[in-house]
Amino acid sequence: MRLWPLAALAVIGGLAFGMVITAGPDPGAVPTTDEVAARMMSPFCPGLTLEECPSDQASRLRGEINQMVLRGDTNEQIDRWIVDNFGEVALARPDGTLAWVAPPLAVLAGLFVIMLVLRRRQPPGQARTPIDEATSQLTPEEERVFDKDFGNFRRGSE
Amino acid sequence: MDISAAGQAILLAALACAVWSALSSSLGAKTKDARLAGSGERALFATGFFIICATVLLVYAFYARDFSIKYVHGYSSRSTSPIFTLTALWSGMEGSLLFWTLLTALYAVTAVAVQRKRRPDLTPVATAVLAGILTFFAGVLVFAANPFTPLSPIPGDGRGLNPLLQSPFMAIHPAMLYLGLTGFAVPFAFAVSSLVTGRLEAGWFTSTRRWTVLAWSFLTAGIILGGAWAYMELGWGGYWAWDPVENASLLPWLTGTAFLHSVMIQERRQMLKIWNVALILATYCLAIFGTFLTRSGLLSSVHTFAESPVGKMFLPFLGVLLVSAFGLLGWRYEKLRSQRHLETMFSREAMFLFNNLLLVTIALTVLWGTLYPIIVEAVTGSKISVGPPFFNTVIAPMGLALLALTGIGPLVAWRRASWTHLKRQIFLPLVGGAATVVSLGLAGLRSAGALFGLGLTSFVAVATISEFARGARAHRGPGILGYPKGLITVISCNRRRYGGYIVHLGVVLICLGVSGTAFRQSWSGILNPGDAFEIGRYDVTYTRPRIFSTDEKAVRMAVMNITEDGRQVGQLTPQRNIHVVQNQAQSEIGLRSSLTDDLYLVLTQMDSRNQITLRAWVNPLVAWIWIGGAFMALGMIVILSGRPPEQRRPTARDKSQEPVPVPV
Repeated sequence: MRLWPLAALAVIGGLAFGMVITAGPDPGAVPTTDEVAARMMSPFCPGLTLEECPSDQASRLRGEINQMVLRGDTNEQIDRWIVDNFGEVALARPDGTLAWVAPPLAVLAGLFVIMLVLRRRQPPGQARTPIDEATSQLTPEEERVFDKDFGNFRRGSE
Repeated sequence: MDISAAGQAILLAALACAVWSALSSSLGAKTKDARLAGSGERALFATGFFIICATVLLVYAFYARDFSIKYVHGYSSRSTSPIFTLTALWSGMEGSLLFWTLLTALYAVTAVAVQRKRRPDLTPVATAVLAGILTFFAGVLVFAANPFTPLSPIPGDGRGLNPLLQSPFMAIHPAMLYLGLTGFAVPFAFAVSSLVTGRLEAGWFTSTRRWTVLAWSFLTAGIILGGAWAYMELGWGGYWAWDPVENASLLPWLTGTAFLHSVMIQERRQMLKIWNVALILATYCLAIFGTFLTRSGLLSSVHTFAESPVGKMFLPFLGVLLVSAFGLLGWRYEKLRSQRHLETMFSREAMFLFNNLLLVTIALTVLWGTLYPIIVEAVTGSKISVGPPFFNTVIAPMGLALLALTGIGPLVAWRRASWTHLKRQIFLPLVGGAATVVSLGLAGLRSAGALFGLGLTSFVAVATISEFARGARAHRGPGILGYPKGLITVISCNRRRYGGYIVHLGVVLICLGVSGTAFRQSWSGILNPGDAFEIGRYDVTYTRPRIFSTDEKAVRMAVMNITEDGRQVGQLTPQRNIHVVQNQAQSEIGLRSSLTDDLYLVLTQMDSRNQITLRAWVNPLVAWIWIGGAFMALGMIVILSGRPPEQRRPTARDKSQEPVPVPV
């Protein structure tokens, strides 16, 4: 059963990948304005991040964030400020682990299904019945046709 | 009789014909009564006729500036230009639904007219399905989103078209997108028909393959043009924002792409029958899901129409589609089971399976990310967002794996590939990839992600191009023109295969363009006339303002002088305009595009002292996205220019139905 350890390893790897990408920016580090703007949904443009939003208000908000960055505020402080002022909806990176872990797990589940299917369906040469057994499964009618054709073939080749 | 009343009467007639067609065709199919089935077909044609009449009438009302119709008043004005007066047809909720219905009707009528002689066994049920779909849309038009609703008292002028929608891309992008999304109705209807009638042999998809390819081509073009529109018009320096509605258009594209690949396994090896039917059923359901999302007001995005009860009507329709389609699939499950099996992980079939796994998982991830905020809000009541950081992080690795398969897949033989053969074929692409990584590394590129992505891109490019080279060599003639002639021969003899490779080359170029994002540079700040700044290899100077007015808008333009590596290369004129009728401010970008990079300027503000707030980007390699799009379009034209399978004389291969080793 060499499939199970492989599958377990893959699941652990997928979960680890999920955890790593969930972690997000280092809470204690001071980001750049662009980094913050890229992970904040703009309160002024539906569906766009603050980095992308072309409105005047977004410009001013980027200016405000720039002030915080210059002051030396950390990722954690800035994110808290964003949530306090605009709500959790303004964070473009979802916080829940589930959001991040589900897609890699789906890939692994799919791979696992393909592997299972491949294992169940052995290649023909290995799993089939031996030749003599197979011939004995021919119906008498088939055997008669086969003998006749094979006889013709033998005569033709002589 | 005024236009409003006439329009409403025509829509009612279309609805009546669609209902009759659905009933008569189903009854005809059940009782095997050719007269009933014929009547159903004719009623479908009549539905199409009435929908065309309704559309023509609405377009006429637009050009006649008939503001007694609410929709015409809402989306045009006397100053709207002739071309945007036409595109206003699909710029609002009601008109876009009529346009959607029109395209569905055109597809339905053409498909039934073509197939009723070729596939009399499948056509009655397919007609019933298509008529059922049209019944729903005609019903929505009549009862919930009537584009002919009158307005009283009649205003002197209309509200005009949203300035963002007044762009050549916007004129063509929704049309392409809708042509794509509605086109999947045809393979959907024939797949359902094959399930209902139990005629599950390969026929249903060979009969509708060209429709599927056509729909997929339009959808691809629509998505790329949408990116171009966002890039040129929205002024945020990008082309894809993982906006819910963009995602909604990507979902059917992903499952459709998976289908176009996996269907080849069914053709060659008669495997994956259940999977293929499921994919095409899912593709159309996802297309409907996208329209539901756009119209429900469930999500906020630049694309959504105002919240309305129409969206709610789509949910039960989607439910009916899903339950009936997949219910049928479950019912026929045993009959669809494949007699043949996949032999090894190391075969073309397996490559297609991995391709499908990735495409479907990307689709599920996009769906998951799009719906996650709704799920969280429903469960916990708190509003959250899932934005670009999520999609980029999660989808990038899967996208790269898919890109790698694009290169490796065509090199692997059907059934059981041999290592020695593959090693010989993969050598050159590997060298190409490695050479790219080394030369970029020596040139100073340090980002591991970018090196890997670009190395992979050139690996796939070399792999794909060597497929063409091998084909050309096998068919080469004598003389100096032997190779080019051989290339033309091999492409024209095998249009599906080589058209597909041209599409792959387009994908590679798009990946190259997207990889430029990693090297993006940006600048923002406040400038007075005479001020300058430097970005990338450009020096940008704000020379002077220009302020003037037209009938439509008050224009504030900043004239920017551009020098490249110290050499004067021209001027860019980003604008901030106030559109008079809508009283809406809008930026027009200044763009200098080249094969290496784009200089992209956006004027966000100009005050009374002519001081401007400007944002600037240098976006490397973006032009390759549009060139890649053109390659994809060319590949699709090559594929579609081949003879349809029904007209081809059966070859020895078709007769034997036995897999034949891929010619190399």
